[in-house]
Amino acid sequence: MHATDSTDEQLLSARDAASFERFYCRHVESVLGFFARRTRDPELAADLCAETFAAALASRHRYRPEAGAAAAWLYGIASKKLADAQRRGYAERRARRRLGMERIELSDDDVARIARLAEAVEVRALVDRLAPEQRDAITAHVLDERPYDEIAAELDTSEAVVRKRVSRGLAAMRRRMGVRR
Amino acid sequence: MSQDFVTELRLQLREAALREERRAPVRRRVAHARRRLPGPAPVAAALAVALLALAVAVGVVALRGDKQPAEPKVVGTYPVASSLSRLATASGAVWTADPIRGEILRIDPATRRVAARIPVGAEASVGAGAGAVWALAGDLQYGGDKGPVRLLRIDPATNRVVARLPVRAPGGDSLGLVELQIGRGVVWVVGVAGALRIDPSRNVADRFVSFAGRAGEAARGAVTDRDSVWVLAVDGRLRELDARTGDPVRELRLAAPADSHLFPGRPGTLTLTGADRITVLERASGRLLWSNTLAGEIRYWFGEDDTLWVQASDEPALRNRLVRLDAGSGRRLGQVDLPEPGVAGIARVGRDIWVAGPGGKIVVVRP
Repeated sequence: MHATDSTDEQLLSARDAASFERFYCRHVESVLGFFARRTRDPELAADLCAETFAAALASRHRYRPEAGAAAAWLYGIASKKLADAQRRGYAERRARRRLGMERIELSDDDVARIARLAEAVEVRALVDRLAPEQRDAITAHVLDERPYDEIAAELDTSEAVVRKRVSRGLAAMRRRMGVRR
Repeated sequence: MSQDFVTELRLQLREAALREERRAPVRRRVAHARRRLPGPAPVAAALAVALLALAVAVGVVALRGDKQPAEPKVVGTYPVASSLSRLATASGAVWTADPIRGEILRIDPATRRVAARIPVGAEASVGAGAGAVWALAGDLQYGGDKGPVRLLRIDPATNRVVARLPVRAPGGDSLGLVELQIGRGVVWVVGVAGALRIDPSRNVADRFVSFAGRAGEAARGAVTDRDSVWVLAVDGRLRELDARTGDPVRELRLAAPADSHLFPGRPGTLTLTGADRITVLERASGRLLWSNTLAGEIRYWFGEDDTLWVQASDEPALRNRLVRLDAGSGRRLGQVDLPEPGVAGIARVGRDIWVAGPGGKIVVVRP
């Protein structure tokens, strides 16, 4: 089976090193962003990301495709690691120790990139959680920087309606970020 | 994207995944390769019934009230390196390798500290015998497909590499996944494609016994000694080959289960391991001596004159046990839970059994 043909579930069930590596490559950015967004601490996010994939590697034999998507299984591990870290105040190293993995020291560039990843992922996640008409309007105007009139024409509505959708969408995002006006 | 961190983590996970693969006996990978081959002989079921009957008989004998030795116990756990591989003993020291750092390690058994590091720049696996310490080093992960594999001879008096021999078939082909078998003054590098004999007096490979055409595409293990090479073929036949000429001497139909793999055993015996079963045969006749089934997957074992130490892993519970068996009868003599996951190597060190883990620690078990 070629790598590009394989589903997450197939990669995880294959149990060979190459398949797990492909599974890792598919999900590492989103998992890193998941932790970066929730911890606001690049070092902790990197630790949790490494521990999550180590735990996934160590316990992949317990994954059963019939029980759900592999990504959901991975994020289940990630959520547990995050909860553990919030309770302990640090990321445990159990899975990495078991596998003989060393802690990775982050460079300044790593720290900056993970912080940026958190911000980018957060904005995208907030946008994705908006109502569809607000999401389309904000994506078009804020992210794609297109003018209101062009968006209105494309959506077959008035410019005022687009402005209102953008305004309400941004307000909803501010509320979810905990920002008060 | 945090490319450097992501890349470093990727490499670490790759190494860990490959170590996990290697921790499982070679038989798994060979079995994987065999999936494309025709299935095993159907008479495997008959052997399974026979083995079951023997296991029951062994159990009955065990219930007669023979005195049990004391249960083994863990008396210490010591961090040594970031990771460890097979263990060997020679010149009053314990030898192993750190596959992550690419170093061969000499450990002082008294202090349990690393007394010397020999950088080899690659993954390595050690063995001892024939007057030296030997190490396979190089692309052990892919059996030489992605880089060379060399056999290093180390002088334990100086801790220096004194000879480097290429590990390949006479035609230049890779031997596939390889292991060292050293005994009776002879060094063999055994792969799935064939066995390369090393003359330790000259540090040269002087014989090659190919398994092609005899064992199918991939042998399910081979056992060597001075005069013979035994090969378990993919069709379940056990063939004895003349170590000098490679010619077949005789053939036995074992009808071994498909997941069986052949390993060296006590002198005069051959050992077959299956998923949770270990079986010992008499070399001279191929006669079944005993068979025993353990609760858990057999992942590693180490033989002494009178004792077999077998790592059995209960994966769902992640329990990792070291089981002591009587080498003559297969009777279970005791067991101990290991505090560290996985086993990369086992050796007798003084009165203790040392168990090296892939996590870089040595667990000391007192029998």
